[in-house]
Amino acid sequence: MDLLHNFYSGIGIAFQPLNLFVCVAGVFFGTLIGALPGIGAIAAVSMLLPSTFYLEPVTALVMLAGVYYGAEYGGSIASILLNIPGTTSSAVVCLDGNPMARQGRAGVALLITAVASYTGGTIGIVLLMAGSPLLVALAQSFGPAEYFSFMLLGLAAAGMMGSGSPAKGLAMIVLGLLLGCIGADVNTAAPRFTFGLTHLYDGINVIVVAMGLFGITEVIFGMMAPGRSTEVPRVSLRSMVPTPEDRRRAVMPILRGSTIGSILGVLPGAGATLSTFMSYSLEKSLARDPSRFGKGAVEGIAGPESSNNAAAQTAFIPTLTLGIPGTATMALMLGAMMIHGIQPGPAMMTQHADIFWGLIASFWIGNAVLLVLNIPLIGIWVQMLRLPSLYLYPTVISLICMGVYSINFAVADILLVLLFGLLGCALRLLKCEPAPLLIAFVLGPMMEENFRRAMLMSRGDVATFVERPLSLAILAVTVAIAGGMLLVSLRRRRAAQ
Amino acid sequence: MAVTKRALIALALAAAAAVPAASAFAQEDWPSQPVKIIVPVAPGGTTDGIARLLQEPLSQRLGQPVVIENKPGSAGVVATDAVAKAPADGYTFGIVFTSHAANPAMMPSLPYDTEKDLVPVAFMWRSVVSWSVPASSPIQTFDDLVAAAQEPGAVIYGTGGVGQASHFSAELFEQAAGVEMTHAPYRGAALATADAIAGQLPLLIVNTSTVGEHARAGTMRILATASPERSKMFPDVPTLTELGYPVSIGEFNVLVAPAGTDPAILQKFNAAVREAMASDKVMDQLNARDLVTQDYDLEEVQQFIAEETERMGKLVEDNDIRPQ
Repeated sequence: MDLLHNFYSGIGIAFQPLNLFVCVAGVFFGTLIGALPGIGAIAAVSMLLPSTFYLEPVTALVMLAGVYYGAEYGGSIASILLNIPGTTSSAVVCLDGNPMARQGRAGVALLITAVASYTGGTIGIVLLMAGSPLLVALAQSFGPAEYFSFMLLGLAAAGMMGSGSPAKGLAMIVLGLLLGCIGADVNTAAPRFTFGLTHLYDGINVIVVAMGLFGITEVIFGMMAPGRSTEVPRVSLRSMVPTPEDRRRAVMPILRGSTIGSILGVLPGAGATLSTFMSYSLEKSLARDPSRFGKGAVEGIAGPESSNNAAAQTAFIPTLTLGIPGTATMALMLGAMMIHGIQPGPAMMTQHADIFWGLIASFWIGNAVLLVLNIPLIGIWVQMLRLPSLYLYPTVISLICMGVYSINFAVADILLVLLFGLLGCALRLLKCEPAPLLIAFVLGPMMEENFRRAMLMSRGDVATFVERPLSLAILAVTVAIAGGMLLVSLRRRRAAQ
Repeated sequence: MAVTKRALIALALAAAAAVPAASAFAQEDWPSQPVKIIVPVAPGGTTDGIARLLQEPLSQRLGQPVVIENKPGSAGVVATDAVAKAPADGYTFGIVFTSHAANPAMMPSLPYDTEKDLVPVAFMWRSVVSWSVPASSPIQTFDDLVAAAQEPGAVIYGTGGVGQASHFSAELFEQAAGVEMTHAPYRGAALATADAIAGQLPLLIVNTSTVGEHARAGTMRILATASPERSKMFPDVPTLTELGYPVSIGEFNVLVAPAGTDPAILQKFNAAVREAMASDKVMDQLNARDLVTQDYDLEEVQQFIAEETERMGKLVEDNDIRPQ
């Protein structure tokens, strides 16, 4: 059992007092920073990156990995309690997590989230240890055509997320795709819909869109309905314990979510984002009563949260074994490794075996620390909701502005987030759901890029999407989902008549 | 009112008298406060990494802290604009890429004038751009590639994006060899490399630091480099110039300052950067990433940027590499 032996020696490295200490510190600060609205894993890691320059390579990476998980989990805290997601992944957790908080079940939601994160993370780590070569092979069978088909599937799944009218869901997706067109075109560098503003050249940052549509809107509506946020009951340790019903409902979604997340996490760029709402859509379609979703369904947080964390683990596979970062956060981690003289790549497992296995062991310890650290803290987090809105809302608004400003140090982003806040208010009054818009906004540019690249490589032959077997299979699933949605809405209309 | 006016005139005169004195004082005393370097990318990555490594040795030589400010956006234009509009007091510098030399021709609506608003100060490093194919590719040598490229558009090459040195290396080669290839730009070299090692992209043009590990592992085959001299990391790989195509280009990082900064300050900063670049810690990282530094003095670096701007401008004109 070479694998177990390696992992065992890795545990030895991770359990060195200093490493254990920085792991706990990293998770704690990561959670704290991630819980602030608008400040996610990228900001948390880049803030703490310079402070690791003076540490040993393993210690530095352990700390940054801790910060990364902590921030991912912290993002869920802000989503559940305040309905303010910092990323597309947390936007999915908002859908049912925030209704649960409104029903006074914030403690249960946070506990399930913590357990789901831990389970997802653990499954992801097991796959990272045992299945790296297999997952890498899967990721490598994805060319531009497959990516395009896969993102189309993602859009179809996004259409399923809303609980309102399908037409409105579709409208939101189209609006999201249009907003995604803003910025320089990758193929020619031509600026599109930038109105001559240099600031729009790189497009609008997804954090700005998410914070505006969800965060600012939430605050504005919260202020119009005063007193609501103070009605939170006191959270005792007992009230955090999920009911047997909750537990039963959470188990399978966690396992399914972890599987989806582990597999999709290895796809550079799109994986982690897609996995959360793919998991959500899957749970919704499997549920006997899908109408519970969006109103505080336990499955709706357990599945996505576990898939998000599993993907956070397996996203390390291309980063560590190929030296190819799939997300901006992974690029930062890669940068940190290079600064410490480690070149991730095919040779990493042999040349830096101690670092590789120490890192993997500390991933697992980081996840365990996250669980242990947060269960006692949940009570404290929930107290946040007891803050009178007089103090809570101005604080949230200033934190959002600071978070958004910290992305690019641009004042224009603050103006944009307020604009998106107004758009969010309009959408809420029209009973349109912003989550599909956000997902389409993220997927749109990637879809276009991969479509054009696929066309370049097939020399303009559209048949490439159906000639490649994997792409064809993904497209078939997409058509099945879209057909299913059409059927459901037709049946609903007939039933209404 | 009269008093105010008189006071204003007096103040203006005093200020006018004070200006030369102040600037003379400034150059002797410089630096008397932290010096800021604006980095045009987000934290992480080579540009940011080397800049942060430079921080310590540079601040030792200047006797003042060196602050790194990340200002990502618009392929460096946002950061360069911030430098162009900063006061020319010797406390703001910025890093520019190869695209800095091409932007005046490529982007008609630049918010600043590359030549009038900015002045090059010091050379940091230049990368080695390599041309590589997946191990499974039938193309074994550079000659095979040239033969395949005879059919217009048949060879598809991927780069980290439009307007990067890797892209220009292909344009320069096409011009020299009289062939036409198809460009597939990616959002960053890492994603292009991922597609290439998966066998989805036939020709990959990126820095040796990005593809090096895969070449050593045998999954990629480097056919040539676009650098003036052979790569230290891959001394067996010929350069395009050796192969008969006068293509010499690399992704560079050069420090610039707002135009009008006291030349004496620029001289001092140039000397400090050159010493700091030569420090062991920085050199180790440069070698690990196959980056080359040039010990250019102030005049040399200014001449370098002027020549590159002219060369890139001509390339853009001739091949019409413009946002359409």
